[in-house]
Amino acid sequence: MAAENLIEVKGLKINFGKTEAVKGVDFCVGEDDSVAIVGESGSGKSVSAMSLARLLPPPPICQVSGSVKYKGEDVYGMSAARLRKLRGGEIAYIFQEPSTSLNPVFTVGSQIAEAVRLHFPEEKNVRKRVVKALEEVGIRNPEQRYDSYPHELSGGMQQRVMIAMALSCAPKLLVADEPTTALDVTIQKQIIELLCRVRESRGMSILLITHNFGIISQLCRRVIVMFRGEIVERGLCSEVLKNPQHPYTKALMDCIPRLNDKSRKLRPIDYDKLK
Amino acid sequence: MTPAANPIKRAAQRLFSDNLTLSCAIVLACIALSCAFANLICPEGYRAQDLQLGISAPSMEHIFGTDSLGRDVFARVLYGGRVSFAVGVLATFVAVVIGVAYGTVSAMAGGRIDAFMMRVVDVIYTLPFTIFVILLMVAFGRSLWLIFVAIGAVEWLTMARIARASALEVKSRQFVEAAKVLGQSRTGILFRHILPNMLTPIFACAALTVPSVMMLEAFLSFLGLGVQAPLPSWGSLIKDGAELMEDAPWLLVFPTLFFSVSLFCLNRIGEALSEDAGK
Repeated sequence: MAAENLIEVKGLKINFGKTEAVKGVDFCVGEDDSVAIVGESGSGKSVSAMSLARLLPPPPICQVSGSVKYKGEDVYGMSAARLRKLRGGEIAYIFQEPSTSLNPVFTVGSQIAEAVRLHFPEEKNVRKRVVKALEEVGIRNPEQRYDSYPHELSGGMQQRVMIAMALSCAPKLLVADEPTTALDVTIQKQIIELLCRVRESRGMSILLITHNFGIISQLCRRVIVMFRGEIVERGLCSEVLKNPQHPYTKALMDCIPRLNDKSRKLRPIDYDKLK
Repeated sequence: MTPAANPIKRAAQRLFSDNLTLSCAIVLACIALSCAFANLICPEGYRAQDLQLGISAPSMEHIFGTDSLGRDVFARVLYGGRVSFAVGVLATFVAVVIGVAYGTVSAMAGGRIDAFMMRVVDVIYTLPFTIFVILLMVAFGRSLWLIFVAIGAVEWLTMARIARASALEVKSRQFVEAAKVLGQSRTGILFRHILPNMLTPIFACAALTVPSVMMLEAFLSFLGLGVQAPLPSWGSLIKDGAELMEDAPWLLVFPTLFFSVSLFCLNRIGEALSEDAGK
């Protein structure tokens, strides 16, 4: 583990009213690191990720306690201006549903340009930079695609645009919240390969939120398994996937359908056993 | 045809895609343009009297006839249209500006502020319009400006509700979250992401507000609370015509014809736009 951590989370608790979404978790993401948080719906993985850039709704709706530090700086003590710099400029997010993450009334190029202007106001040739970003994520004819509206692109292209938007501000950490769930399998593979490639070429860190074990091993070095707002297992990807320790991790991996074993029935998670 | 993403282009597409709406737009444009250029078409103006002629039926010289003071009805209808359209467009503009600002602020603020602001709207809604206008007239005297204020003060309420509903809907869409995640400020999000996506319903509502405002103005003028004579408006012309309906039907028929055709066209266009907004 690198000495300098990008993100350090200690004792993070997130409550929505009386519902405890996250019950005290600790984790960290280093420089040039790749971590996956795995868990089922409602395990608190997405809210944990959102809390890193203080993106959860303000107190009466949602209470966050514990500490979240970005390069040693307390995220929850930051001024609004500092926070806007952090969001996008240092921690960028991509979401599950690319088609709803793009504003339908503007061209994709102008939306990426907006992000560039926010974080690099001194940049003179914004268009060139946007075209370069589109090229980096493997969009053909980036010059023409600049002037396309979101509905003119396919789902995979839209997700590439979202990644280009996130990358255009040169973030240190990319949080990918189920980036492939809305896409079909072949596009999934392309997007994961794209994320791998940009991670390596930029030396950026990735925090991947997913419930899909299939994509973890390709992209991530470490994995954190969350269940009911707690971390139940963590370790190197290769080890956890080969030899899961916690019964929940085992159960979760048992849910993955296998192609070569026809006799095996799909096993749902038996929650009573886990209690 | 795939709808264009740009709301203005989309509205135009919608208008020109069906024949009835298109013909309404053409008819309306003709009426509006002849009213706008009334001073070129009838250079003698709406007040020129020919007392010797007095009331006369349509003829070659006065195609719509003349009224009891010998004034050309055609000229008066065109000049009256100016007033009616001006009230319609300006009061709608006022209503859109106030309503959209109010509704959007309410939606963005949320919580108690939102609830309070919308209850204020509910309370103003309950005021009876006619009494409200009569009170204004009594307090400030009759003027064209007061009509704008009175109509604007009533029409912005509906606009505020529509703007609020639309802002709430857009606010919850994910690209707003995505903009926040990129470090966009609240005002940036409001002007770049929320308002542009509200335009379609606002256009539709504004287009339907214009005829209802014109109707209100005509109603006020008919009651004698509207524009001051000798300035004509379609409402006051209809009122004058109604008094002499049996002796000189042309005084009633022509302003009514212009008024109803314009309202029909405006309503058709407004409905075409709101059908589009509903998609």
